[in-house]
Amino acid sequence: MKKIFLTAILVLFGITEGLCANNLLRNYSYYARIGYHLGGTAPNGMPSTIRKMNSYSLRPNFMLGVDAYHPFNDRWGIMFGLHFENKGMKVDATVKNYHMSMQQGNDDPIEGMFTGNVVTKVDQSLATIPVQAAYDLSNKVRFKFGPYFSYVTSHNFNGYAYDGYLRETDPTGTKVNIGHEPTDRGDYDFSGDMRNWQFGIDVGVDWYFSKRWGGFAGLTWGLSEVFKKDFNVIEQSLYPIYGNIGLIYQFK
Amino acid sequence: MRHIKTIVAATLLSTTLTSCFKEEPLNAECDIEQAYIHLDNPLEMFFQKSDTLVSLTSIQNDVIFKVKRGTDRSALAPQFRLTEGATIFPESGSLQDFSNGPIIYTVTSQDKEWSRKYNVSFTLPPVVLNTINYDFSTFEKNTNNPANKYYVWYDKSDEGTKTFSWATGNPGYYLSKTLAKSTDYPSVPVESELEEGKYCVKLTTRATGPKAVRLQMPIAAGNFFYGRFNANIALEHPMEATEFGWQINFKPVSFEGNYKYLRGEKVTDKDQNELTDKKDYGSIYAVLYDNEAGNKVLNGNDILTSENIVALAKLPDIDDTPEWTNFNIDFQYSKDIDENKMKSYGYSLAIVCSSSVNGDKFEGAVGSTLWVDKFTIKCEKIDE
Repeated sequence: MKKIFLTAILVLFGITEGLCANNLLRNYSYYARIGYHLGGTAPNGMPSTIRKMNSYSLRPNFMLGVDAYHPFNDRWGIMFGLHFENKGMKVDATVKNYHMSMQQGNDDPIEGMFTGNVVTKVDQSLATIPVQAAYDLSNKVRFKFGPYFSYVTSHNFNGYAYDGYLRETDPTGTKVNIGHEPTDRGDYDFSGDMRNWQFGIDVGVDWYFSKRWGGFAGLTWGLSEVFKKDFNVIEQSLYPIYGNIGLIYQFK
Repeated sequence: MRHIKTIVAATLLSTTLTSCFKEEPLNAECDIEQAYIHLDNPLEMFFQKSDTLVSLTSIQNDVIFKVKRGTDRSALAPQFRLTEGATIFPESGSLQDFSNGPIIYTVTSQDKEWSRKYNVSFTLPPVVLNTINYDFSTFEKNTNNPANKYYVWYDKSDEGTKTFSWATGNPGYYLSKTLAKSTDYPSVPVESELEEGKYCVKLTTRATGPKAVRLQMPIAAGNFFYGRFNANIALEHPMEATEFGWQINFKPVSFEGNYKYLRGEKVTDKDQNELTDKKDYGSIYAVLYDNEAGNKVLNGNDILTSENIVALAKLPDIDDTPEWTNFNIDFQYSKDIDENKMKSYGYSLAIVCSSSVNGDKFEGAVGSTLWVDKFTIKCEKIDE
């Protein structure tokens, strides 16, 4: 945690230094970026209560952004920008004795230990500011590493449990059968328990195959969990971990 | 491009998700799912072969084998089917002396973190006199986990053990309104107005919540019945969760009791449409049916329509009745009784009370209230 802030401060220091060098508006290049995210909102290390992944479906996780790059010397520089992006997933997993809360033809949710299948849909729209140290391996390949900060403009985390049973409160509680059809499965929606701010580490590489056009690939690893601190229905902390891939266009 | 995407996807999933699946955790549940006893000649001890097997729902803590009078209960070896990996003490199949009442068995989960205690007993049939009286004054808060949420009623057997022969939909209502106070449940005890120091049962049709409304279950009628409530399927198959009736060995002749009724204002149907031309009514009836040698239990779907029905004692739909009113109705037999079948508990008796006559179809008026007190079944004893 501390390290990220340290990195952020160093990078900001770098910016300030750049300003002091009185070359503020000189020597900047600008880029547009369009890409696609693929990944999941997942715990760091799978708990033993998650047994199997039955399916994973793609979501419209497009990202669109602009970046500015400023070199400090031949090799090193800084890149920062503003990205609008979606990070979502839909996963169907088999769980055993997994703490959940759900509604099945009832009013107050029932909470306890679920064994069966869980479908989870996550959709988040974010405005993200990445601030990255950049290293040019050649005039075609640039590595980037640094923190990102995201404001979550809309978030959904919902789904349903099916084909299983929930032990109300704990494994000795009432066994509530959860069926397969929409009318008898257990729905849940934790969208309201999600955080508005996220941060993490963004590493990637840009590769230019022409003067203006390039491709990029990267990984954004969330270090802040997606849920608020006081949310404890899902016992594991979940982090957004998404890889991305796309095209860059250099304006100047 | 497509390849790269696939590679990225594969790498990501394998590193962050798939490769991290751990070994399966040990089971945390510790239930007796079934108890049974193996005998060369089960009918020496039991009335019906099916009585050698007792199936439990998750909210039951009592295993009751009903045996014939004269059975030697000093050395019996019940066996248990437990949730996977669980262990039981005393051991399954060990000889125990049940002649002094229930024996407590403790089931421990495979992961050793959880345990449940069960009372296992072999009970003799009740001494049947010419009348059986119920005054509904013995009740307590539920003891199954989570405990103390709602009321449950029991009778004392001749040997002093509790038998939970009267059931309600309260365990189902708990699942739909976990935060409700025990006094706000559809079925609650209140002080009797017929006898000081005693209690009667008050049944109220309650509104449920938004999700239940979407599932076309906008109300929960208060119910009280001689039978068992299977909470496991209360939300999934509510009609089948009410398992009406217990096996009996006497021929019921008449059904007597007391009630008062106050109907709620607006009758709504399962889609919450107000039915302006309809009024709500209370409902009380008793049904005797053939239990197919202990293999058939009638439920909300067929309690009044089953071909197994042998006799019926049903009050006309109950209109607004502000004062306590006594009723006494005869059982109307539609089929002859087979005495041998009766002796071997081949018939079951169900008694059902509901604060909304069409509550099983989720039609009724919120607020409709039925009070019931002091039921008596008069019977002809079949000589053992």
